[in-house]
Amino acid sequence: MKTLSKGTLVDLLKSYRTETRQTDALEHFDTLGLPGNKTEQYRHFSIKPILAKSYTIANIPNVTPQSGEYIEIVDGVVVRVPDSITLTIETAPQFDDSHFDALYYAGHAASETCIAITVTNDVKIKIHHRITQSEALLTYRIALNVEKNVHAQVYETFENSSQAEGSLVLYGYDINVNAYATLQWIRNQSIEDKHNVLLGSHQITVADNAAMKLRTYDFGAGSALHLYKIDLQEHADLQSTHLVYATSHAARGNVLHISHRGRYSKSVQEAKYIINDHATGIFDGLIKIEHDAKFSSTRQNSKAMLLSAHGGARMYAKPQLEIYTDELEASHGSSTGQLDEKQIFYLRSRGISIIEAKKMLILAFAHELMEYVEDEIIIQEIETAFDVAHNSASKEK
Amino acid sequence: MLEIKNLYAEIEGKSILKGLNLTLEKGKVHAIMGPNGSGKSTLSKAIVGHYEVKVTDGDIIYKGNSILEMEADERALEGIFMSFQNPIEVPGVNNAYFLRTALNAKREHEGKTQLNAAEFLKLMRVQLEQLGMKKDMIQRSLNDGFSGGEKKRNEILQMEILQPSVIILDEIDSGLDIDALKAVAEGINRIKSPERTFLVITHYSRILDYIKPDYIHILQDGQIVKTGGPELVEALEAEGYKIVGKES
Ligand SMILES: Nc1ncnc2c1ncn2[C@@H]1O[C@H](COP(=O)(O)OP(=O)(O)OP(=O)(O)O)[C@@H](O)[C@H]1O
Ligand SMILES: [Mg+2]
Repeated sequence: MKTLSKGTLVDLLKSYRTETRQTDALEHFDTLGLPGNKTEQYRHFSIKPILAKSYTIANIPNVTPQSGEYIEIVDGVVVRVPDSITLTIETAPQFDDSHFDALYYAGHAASETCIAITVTNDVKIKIHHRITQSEALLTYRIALNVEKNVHAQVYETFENSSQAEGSLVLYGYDINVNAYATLQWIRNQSIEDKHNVLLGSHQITVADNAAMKLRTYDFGAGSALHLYKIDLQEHADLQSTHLVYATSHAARGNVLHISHRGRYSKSVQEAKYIINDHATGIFDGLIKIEHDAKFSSTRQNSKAMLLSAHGGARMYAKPQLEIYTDELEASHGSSTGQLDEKQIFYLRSRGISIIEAKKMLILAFAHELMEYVEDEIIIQEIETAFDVAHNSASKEK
Repeated sequence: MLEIKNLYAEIEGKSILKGLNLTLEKGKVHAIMGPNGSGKSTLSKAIVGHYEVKVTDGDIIYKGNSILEMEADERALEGIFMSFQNPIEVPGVNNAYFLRTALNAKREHEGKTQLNAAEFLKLMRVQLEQLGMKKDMIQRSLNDGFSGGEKKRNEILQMEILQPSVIILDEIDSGLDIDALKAVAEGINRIKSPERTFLVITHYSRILDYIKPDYIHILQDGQIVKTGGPELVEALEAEGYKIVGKES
């Protein structure tokens, strides 16, 4: 049981030191150390004040979930589950022992239980996260296991109760896509609220001949950073696409460490970031082709569009490739640009207002990544979220 | 209908138009000819409010008012249209969606109801056929990968849909094959009316054979140096710009 009622993340972790459970995770956390402004993956996120802040430590109540159309998680507690889905609350969750992110271990050490979902047949799952508490530290982990030969889609959405602000949500997935299985994971994370911070630290293993499609859509004025460690086994196939529209003072980003471990493994990454106002975009993609990953291929591309006229918007893109084998195909690139004045003028010369012209061009930049989603209803939800983010951004010329 | 008075304009600090005077009459077709680099495109850009062109003196009067302070989209909504010498490619923006947005902006400005996608496509079908454009052209990205001739036809398509009052065609005929030239000229003739004015910029007499200009103006070194009737074209064709006295 958590005894602490208020404190920083470290206070919470310290309080665990008196307990025996999950000391392992804590050891890993200590080895990596508390992230600061010099920690590579948090360099542009200003993590320091977030971790120094004292939060109310949420006590996770014991709730028996009701049956519903989708999985609903409120402040880290599962309140609703469809009957068709196998979901259990586990007390001794497994974790990866070589993650690069200290907060991955902090999340594991701070979460007493883990939400475990096992997918045994082809299914589409929606997971809706709702944050209702203010000034709270909410930590929870989800383990997702897609069994052999199974084809699953997980669609993740987020909601912030209007009065909830100042909270830190530290969550994350441990995902196993087993042999010959496929998982399409779509995250639609629209945060208009400026006051909650969300950190997601994930670990994903794509087994032999399995495929993972990671499609993320992060929009709005709230700050969030997602960190992924992804391991690809033989003939594993990863497609990851990341669309970000950050407004106001948001910092939004994806940090990925992708390891090609098996032969013939394949990864394609495409990121498009639209950064408005005084927001910051982070795309940090490290791809390692390990010694045993002969005949692998990887392609990575990130494009950013900075929209604010006064130079308030920033983009940090860091594509990196580390190669430890000789037979492979690899390419990467990144670019940062602005809206094209000639194109804006062309549209305006036909009577289209400057606001509408810019919107058309921004959508033209982004739309390709929305079209990857096969589900029409989800595309519409993503488009709506994109619109909301766009309309909330300041309309400075 | 449109009066250009003693217009001085520069691009990138370089003086291009040097006291240009020109009056475009309602219902008439004006043609402008002139050597490369004399300022023809600069003049059209000044009329539509292009950001590159800085007007330093003089005025442009349209419907009785100066338009120099108006934004490009306002000028367009008021009925001023220019076909680009080099139409811009806009990857990712669907041509049909662009055309409909432009038309609806105009309709809104005129207090008319908006057209939905179905109504708009119906209207388009006839226009496309008349211009000899393939149907898939409007489902592609705007001008993206269009051939030179396809881009020009797309400009005429925009003109026909928007039904402007002052129509400036900047070298609409260059790079067109014989059929395209004919299709484009027919498009222009279709919307000719006593209420409209055309300013046709060209280097060749061929398009003028189709659209029959009322006036020919010669622009040289930032000024209109000669104005005459269609007979001027023949003289130019025969002798070149030396008929206006200066070598270019
Ligand atoms: N963006 C620019 N930057 C610098 N100079 C420019 C720019 N645009 C035009 N100019 C210059 O302005 C002058 C007039 O150009 P303009 O395009 O108006 O000529 P034109 O009469 O249309 O010529 P053409 O018959 O070749 O189309 C030229 O000397 C050209 O080089
Ligand atoms: Mg020109």
